[in-house]
Amino acid sequence: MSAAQDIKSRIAPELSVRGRVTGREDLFVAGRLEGSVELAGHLFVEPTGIVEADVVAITVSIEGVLVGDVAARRAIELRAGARVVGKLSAPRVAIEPGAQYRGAIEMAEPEAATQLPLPVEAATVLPASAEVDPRDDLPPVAEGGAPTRLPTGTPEPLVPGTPGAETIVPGAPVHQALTVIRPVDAAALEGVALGGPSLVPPSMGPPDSVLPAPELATEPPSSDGDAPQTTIGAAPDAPAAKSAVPDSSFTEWVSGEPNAADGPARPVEVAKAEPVAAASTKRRILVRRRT
Amino acid sequence: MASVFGPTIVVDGDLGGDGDVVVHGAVRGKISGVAALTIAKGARVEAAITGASAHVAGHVEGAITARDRIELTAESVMNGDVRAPRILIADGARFRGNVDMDAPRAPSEEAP
Repeated sequence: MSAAQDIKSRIAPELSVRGRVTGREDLFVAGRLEGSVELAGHLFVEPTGIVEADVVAITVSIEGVLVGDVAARRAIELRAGARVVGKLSAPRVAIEPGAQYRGAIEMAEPEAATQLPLPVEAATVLPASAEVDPRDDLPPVAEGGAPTRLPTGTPEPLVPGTPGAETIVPGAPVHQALTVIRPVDAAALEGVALGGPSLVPPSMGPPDSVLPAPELATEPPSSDGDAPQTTIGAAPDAPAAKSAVPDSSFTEWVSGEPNAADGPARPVEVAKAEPVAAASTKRRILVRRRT
Repeated sequence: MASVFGPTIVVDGDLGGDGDVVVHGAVRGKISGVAALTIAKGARVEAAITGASAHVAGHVEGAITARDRIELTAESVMNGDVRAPRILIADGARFRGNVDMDAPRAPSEEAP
């Protein structure tokens, strides 16, 4: 009972906590948590977890439901199945396909933000694998012999399905299909206009900026109430998003995703959230998929 | 699987619901309805506690009402009333409060 190192703090599915939770360790939430969370550690919202709270933590990883503003010192990760409403603030934000999100993202890492746009050389010094933290450091998936990396020169137009561009393996574990958004990538794409609600122009997508270009760059993928920026991760269950992506490999990949968990478990109130003004998107969002 | 609150976790608020709960940290507020509550050594709980059973090895300020049993271990510090059909107080426990083992009363008032 005093083996403090082995203790894994977790709110089990049956438990609900209401109030203010603080700590200097990781916390897993599989139950319900309302109020506020301040952790000098990692917060994991498991698929069954429901968090209605403003969150401050080192990293936040969400597979369940979170309603509230999230500020992470290092990274926020919206995994497949996540339902998130609120503002996200972190140097790095990753939204996986299958995650559903509405809100504004602010990637406010002082170094990266003030140096934008970085020269290309500076950006190429930072390969994707050089500065990721261990949690993200996954072995590259050899597909097409082209592991994901930052563009080294002139960004090439992204052709969905091109080997090296489409780096997602259908049926691959979801942690290998991260859609990573981070300032470093933004730096690599010098010249891309900032601030617009539209995401990445198709001609500027780097080989690893991989959400297929049409889906990113064309009109807002879904014409209904969903705000355009919330479809970063290409919510596969949205018909509009699917139809907007002509590329067969992508749709195949989308349908191959284990999104069965999306359907029945999704709380309706989050899925049907009201739209958010597109102007609330603080920055253009760049998407890069790691393998 | 039990809910666990590690040694650095501080909850200002309420814990409710089913399931087992292990507290290594601090809880201030209310703990209600949990199945088996363990207040570990080093933990500090300032709360009104109701549940099925409570195992106390830490520090509790507040009353505990349990449907089944309450156990105060030798390391425990308990300031508050305890009420349960079965109450165990180990040698060495520091306890100040009222003890009520009147079994018939507990379930009726304890029913959630």
